[in-house]
Amino acid sequence: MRLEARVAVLARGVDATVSVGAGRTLAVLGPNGAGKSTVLEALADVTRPDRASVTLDGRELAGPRRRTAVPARRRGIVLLSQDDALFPMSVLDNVAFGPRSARRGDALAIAREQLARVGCEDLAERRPGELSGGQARRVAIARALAAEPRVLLLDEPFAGLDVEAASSIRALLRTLLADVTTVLTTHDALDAHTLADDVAVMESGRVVEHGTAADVLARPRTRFAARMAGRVLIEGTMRGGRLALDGGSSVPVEGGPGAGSRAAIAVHPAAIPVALDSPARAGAHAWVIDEVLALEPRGDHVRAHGAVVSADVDPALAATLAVGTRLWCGVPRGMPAYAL
Amino acid sequence: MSGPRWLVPLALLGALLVAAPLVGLMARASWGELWTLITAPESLEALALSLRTAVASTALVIVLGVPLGFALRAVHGRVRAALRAVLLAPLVLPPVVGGLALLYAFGRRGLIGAPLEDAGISVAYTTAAVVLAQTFVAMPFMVVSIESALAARGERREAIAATLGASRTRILARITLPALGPALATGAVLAFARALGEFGATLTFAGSLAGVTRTAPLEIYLARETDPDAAVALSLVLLVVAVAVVAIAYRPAAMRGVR
Repeated sequence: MRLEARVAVLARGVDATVSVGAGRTLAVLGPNGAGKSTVLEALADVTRPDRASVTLDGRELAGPRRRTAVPARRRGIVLLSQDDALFPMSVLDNVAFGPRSARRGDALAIAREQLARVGCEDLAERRPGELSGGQARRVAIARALAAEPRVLLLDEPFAGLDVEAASSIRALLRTLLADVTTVLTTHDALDAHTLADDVAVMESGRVVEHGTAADVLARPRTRFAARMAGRVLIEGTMRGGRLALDGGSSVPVEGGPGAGSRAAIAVHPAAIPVALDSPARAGAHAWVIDEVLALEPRGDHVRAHGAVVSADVDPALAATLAVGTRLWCGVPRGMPAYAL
Repeated sequence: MSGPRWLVPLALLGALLVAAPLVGLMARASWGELWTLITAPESLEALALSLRTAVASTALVIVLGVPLGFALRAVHGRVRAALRAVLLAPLVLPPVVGGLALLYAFGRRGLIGAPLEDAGISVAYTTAAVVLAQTFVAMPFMVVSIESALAARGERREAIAATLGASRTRILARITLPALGPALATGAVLAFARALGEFGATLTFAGSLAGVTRTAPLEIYLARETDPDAAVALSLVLLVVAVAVVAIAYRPAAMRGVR
């Protein structure tokens, strides 16, 4: 089931194009407020988009050639929302709500089977109010799968869960989603890494990068995508085996396009050491002088953003830094360069 | 919030205004003969008719009022405001005006009544007219109750249910109506009480035919001079029902069925 769509919800500033191949998983990666949930809701027709073109396996569900869009219940696109939206009935009845096969006996059998797949068969008689957050999410997953979705939409599947529940559900989804066409939203590059074949990076309602997970996460083309992928994008121009940075220094790189082309390397900010004075030995790093533009506290470390490079520094060193401080940043030598 | 102290005497005066008539009624009652008076043939006949018609009109109110509540949510802006004003008018309309209006709609020479008469169906001055009058005055309670309950809840679960492939009827039956349960109960109880107490519209549109259209309030009105003891006894029955209905319909939210 290949899904190709462009949806616009003007009131929320969203106009996004996404596509996902049959049986593949697309992660829509972006910060809170980027419009990820809106895209999913528009795909499922839970939110009525202002403009939409949705094609599922060559069949147009919404678009210029249709007078009216196919309604939610005939799309086969099942949305699993962040709030789980379990109905006020038993867990078993919740899961049995979905199966399209009409007979109730069959529906209950399918429901029990799906509950077993998510490890919740012993919760069948409970009411939604008697479930923990993790259990409710599992039941919602079972209900979505029981509906035999052509496309499954997961909105932030780990939101609001404690670390333990989130990691066990992440492992569960890895097996369950293997052959289901899925679009999931996340603000976490780890989810995109572990669950997705493809990644679309969203910024302010637009998809700014779209490609295979390996490509987008390892070779981001914009600073924004790099930040979402947990990397820092160092841009420059190729000069025979070296990347000449915009600040004037240069870094030896591996591969990359021909001389004179714009290129970049993507580096983990934690892999960039910093020093206040010129280091005595160059070692494995090419040292670049940069100026601190912003300091971003991130839990147990601080990310220092410069004009060219960003680096993670420990709080003790960060305490001596201020906006405008000149800093030596060690960019690893021989990182793979790619054309922008 | 208890407010300034000068509210207290006013509140006491208000309470007196409401409670004194009720106490007066109870003081006038001949408690020894109460049971005999209530079980007298005329009283029993009137009470039975009241009960039958009130149940019938409550059923009609549920069947027609719930869809009306949904319809009111489905339209927007000025249309909704206008429709609401019309649908809720019986709430504040003098019942005798309602009865007159019903007469000119369903009476023998009424707008709808005349063609029905030609077809051999006569509504006015029958038990059906009593039910019609009671439904007319009681419907707004259900419409208001359903409309405000729909306004207060989101449509998220319904939307999710639709993505699971459920039809609109299935969503209504399995998700929306169960969630509206308390509102439905409140609307039905209030409508039942209003139907039971209906007097003006019934008298105008249905008359006062013993056993056919003479409900308990009409019987009380007729008996108040000829047999005040019977009138008071019947009144006490309706008073008990009224107090019970209010206790059920306006019970604090915390006491409503925990789901």
